[in-house]
Amino acid sequence: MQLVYWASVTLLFAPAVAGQRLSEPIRSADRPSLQGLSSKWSGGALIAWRTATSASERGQNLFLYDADGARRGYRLEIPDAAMVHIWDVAASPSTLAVAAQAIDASGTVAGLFALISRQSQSTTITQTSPFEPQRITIRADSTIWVLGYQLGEGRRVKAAPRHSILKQYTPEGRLIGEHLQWPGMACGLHPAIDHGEGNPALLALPGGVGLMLPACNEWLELDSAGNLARKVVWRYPGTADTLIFTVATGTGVFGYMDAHLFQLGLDTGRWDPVLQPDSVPAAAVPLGNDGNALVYESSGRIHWATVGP
Amino acid sequence: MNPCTPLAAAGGVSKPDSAIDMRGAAEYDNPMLHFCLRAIPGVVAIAIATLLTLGANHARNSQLPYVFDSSGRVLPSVFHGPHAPNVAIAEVRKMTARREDQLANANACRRDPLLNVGAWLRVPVVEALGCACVQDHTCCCVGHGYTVTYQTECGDCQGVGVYNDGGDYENGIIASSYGCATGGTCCGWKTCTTQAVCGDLASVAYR
Repeated sequence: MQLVYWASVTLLFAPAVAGQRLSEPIRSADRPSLQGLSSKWSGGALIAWRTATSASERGQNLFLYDADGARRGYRLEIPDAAMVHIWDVAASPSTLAVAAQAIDASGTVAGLFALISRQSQSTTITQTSPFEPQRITIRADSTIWVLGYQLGEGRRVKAAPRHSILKQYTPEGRLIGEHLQWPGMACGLHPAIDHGEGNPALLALPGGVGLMLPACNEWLELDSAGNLARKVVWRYPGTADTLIFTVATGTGVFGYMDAHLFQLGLDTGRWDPVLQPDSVPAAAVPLGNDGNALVYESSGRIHWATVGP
Repeated sequence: MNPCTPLAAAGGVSKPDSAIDMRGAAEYDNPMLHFCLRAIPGVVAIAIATLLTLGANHARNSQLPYVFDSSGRVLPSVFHGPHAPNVAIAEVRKMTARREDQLANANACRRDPLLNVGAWLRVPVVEALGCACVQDHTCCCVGHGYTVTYQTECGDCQGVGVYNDGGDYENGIIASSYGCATGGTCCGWKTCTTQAVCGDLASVAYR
């Protein structure tokens, strides 16, 4: 009996032996209360936002906590909007980029992204309709990249006309590139839509951008001109079937699913579990990257760590 | 001496009785007076420009956004120019009226051990406005947009699927991530199909 138990344990953890390990936290901080808010680490700050804000609701809907814990609040205000949805936010040292949607009282939907100065809070909005942004990132060259979709009559996905799912803008918000055509990339319902397959992600990389498209079971890397540089077709590990969150550090691509952290093998397409240090017993839920460090939360604390053998 | 000190006070030439007449200014011998009078329009212009700048800064500080299209042209608002397909007015009302309730319910769903909706809600999710628990362990998610369920209550499938895309369903039963449609029963995270009641996982057919 003991032998069976031992064998089971060995098999259960066998893949982890060859996998990677989270280091002891390099740094830790208390996580502020973010009840009802979505959050991520980006641009050297913890960003939190209210996904839906109706016109009648007062107050701020976007918050930024600097590395020293200082909190700044912003209000993404869209005149004439009955409802504003914030789908994603990315930060650079100077700018917050917000992928959003505004709906007026007549039901008119406007896709947009907003660029907010972290210092002056001045805001410019680029209306992207009929393209509807879902994910956004800012590259080191300050270009803005947006992952999104276009819908057809009745807001039906499959009635949508041909469109690009990835668009590239100047730091001022002018369109300079369109990449990845739909329905050419019609895996799942739509690569930019989480229809149960997992949460798509758009991440800035040193040489371009990375796209995690769970609907396609693909990780794509595009260079700064939008050319496909790498394509990894992956499969879910074990019983996991929904990728919740993706982070790319200088050392790899990481995903959170099934309440565990995994690293994607870029050569194998396999997700390998990342072991946690004993000092972090609760699940390590990734928030983003800070250079090569993985930023994650666990038991109400934010930790910085590296991943290695 | 400050060149703009009133000349009368400085012991300079006397002013005419009438208000300052710019046309006559050049006739005065005092070049300093000449300079000051000539400078007044410039000073006024600078003051106006300053006020305009302050006004613009005030607008910025008030976070009123400047709106452009993707070619850089200014738009009066985001609702001008091309727009995405609309949603129904009634659904906008529901969105605005029910959001707080949905958020409260979503918090309750975070405790759900079975369907893991809490983890799913932790990060931005396309279209999800909130979820509610049904029968202790099934979460019903109310969203908007392409897969709108718009249930009045979780488990109420009336009107559900109106905006659904009609794809990836079997036997005419819509089983989106967010709800069920005509012919289906109940709703849940990947559990919409032919459940007799919400939470009856024995009869669930996953998408």
